[in-house]
Amino acid sequence: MDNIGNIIDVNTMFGPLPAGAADLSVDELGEMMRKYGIHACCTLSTVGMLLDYNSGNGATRAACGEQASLLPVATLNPQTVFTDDGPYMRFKSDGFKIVRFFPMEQDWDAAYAPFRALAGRLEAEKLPIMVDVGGSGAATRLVDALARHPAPLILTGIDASAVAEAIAVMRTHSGIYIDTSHLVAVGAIKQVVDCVGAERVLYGSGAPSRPMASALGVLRNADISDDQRAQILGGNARRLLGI
Amino acid sequence: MPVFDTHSYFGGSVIPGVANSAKTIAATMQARGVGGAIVFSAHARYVDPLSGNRLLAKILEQSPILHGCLVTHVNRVDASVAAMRELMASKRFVGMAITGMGEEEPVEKIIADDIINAYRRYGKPLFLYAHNGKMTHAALEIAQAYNMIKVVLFGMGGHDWRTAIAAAHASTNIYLETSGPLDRAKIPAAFETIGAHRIVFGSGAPHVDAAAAMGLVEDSPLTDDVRRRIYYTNAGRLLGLDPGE
Repeated sequence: MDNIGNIIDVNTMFGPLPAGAADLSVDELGEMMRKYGIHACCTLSTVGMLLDYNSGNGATRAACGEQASLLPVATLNPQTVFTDDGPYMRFKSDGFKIVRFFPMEQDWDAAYAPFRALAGRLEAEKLPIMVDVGGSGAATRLVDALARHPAPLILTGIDASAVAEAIAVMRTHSGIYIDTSHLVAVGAIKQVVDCVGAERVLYGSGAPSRPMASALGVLRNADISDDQRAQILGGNARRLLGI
Repeated sequence: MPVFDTHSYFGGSVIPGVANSAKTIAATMQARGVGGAIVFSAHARYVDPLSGNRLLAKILEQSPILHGCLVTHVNRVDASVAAMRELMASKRFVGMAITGMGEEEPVEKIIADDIINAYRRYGKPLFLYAHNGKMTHAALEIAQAYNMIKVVLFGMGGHDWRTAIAAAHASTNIYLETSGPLDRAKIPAAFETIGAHRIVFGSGAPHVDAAAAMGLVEDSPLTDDVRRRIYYTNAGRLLGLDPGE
């Protein structure tokens, strides 16, 4: 794989995940990183997504504190945020690199008023926001909700059926990025690169619940230049996250 | 290691220029080390069985590494049987799939009987879509009723892959095809329950790149011998081919 040793995976998790059966431990993630030559992973505890973001963010900080190659990702559930002040106002100083939201898993939508309010409170942090989107119209509603947000937005969960929508919203706002975790259809990565540029595509695997070899295999076979591949594998994330 | 993809399509991609000819399909396969594939006509699946399968027959003539699977529809029995009579005797068509009212809807035995009874004489495998638990249960009923036919479950039950594994355990004429969710747990679980000899590699290309589907096999804790069986030995035996060629 080109650029080996410099790969940054922006989409990983660790911890229990009842819907999956594969091992999701930090050790397993580290093992996969070594196997595939991944330099660094943005990661978070599944506890933050599934139950309690405070506990999850604590577990994420603890795991990332022990391994320099793990970059902490914070998460929040707008259904359970009631105050204008909270730990989420210190995400940046706590070392988090991204704030990630899971509307599908938590059953809310980008039009949800608490999410919009929370996004407004996060403006001062200026951390990139990463949102799992799925289903027709989800990316459009998300971008509408965050139209004036000053920080970069990373779309994840975009599969072949949503590529046209993702490209359309990315054309309207230059601060929108997409990760490759679900761009597994033949030609999908090239289509995005041709339409909005390689500099807005980030390598993400969804590991360890999804195979790291899959995301890497698709990117390896994408009909793009080696320079573009290198940007996607790590250069873009390095620039975006200030690594 | 040779790879045979038991599940790919001619047409149907949302990405322009992808899988729209024998040349593009073969080039995509070869770039990923896939030596042979079964191809289904997206036109036959989504529009019209008769004309779609005829289009596929023309595509197969243009590349020796492509094999065909006839696509039939429970709402088009006459057209399906006509396509069967026209094309199924060809060695290039290695099986038949039955589609129903929707991609996520089960094909019930009671409405598939006419097509299956017309198909039995060819002695080739039957491919049934199993994207969820309901579809898998319906496929199991068919497999148990027609136990002389080898039945391949496409998509391995989707997120309900445990149901598909249980179905294959219950009916030994069922084969599991590995496409569907890229869940790292499902292939090891299938191997543990039914062994390696009834699992066949499939991608669903171009909707899922064969490279992504191969990544699922590569990341699963399997021996090289088991991977070899999944990638091509089992398909060769099932289809009466040497898929390594």
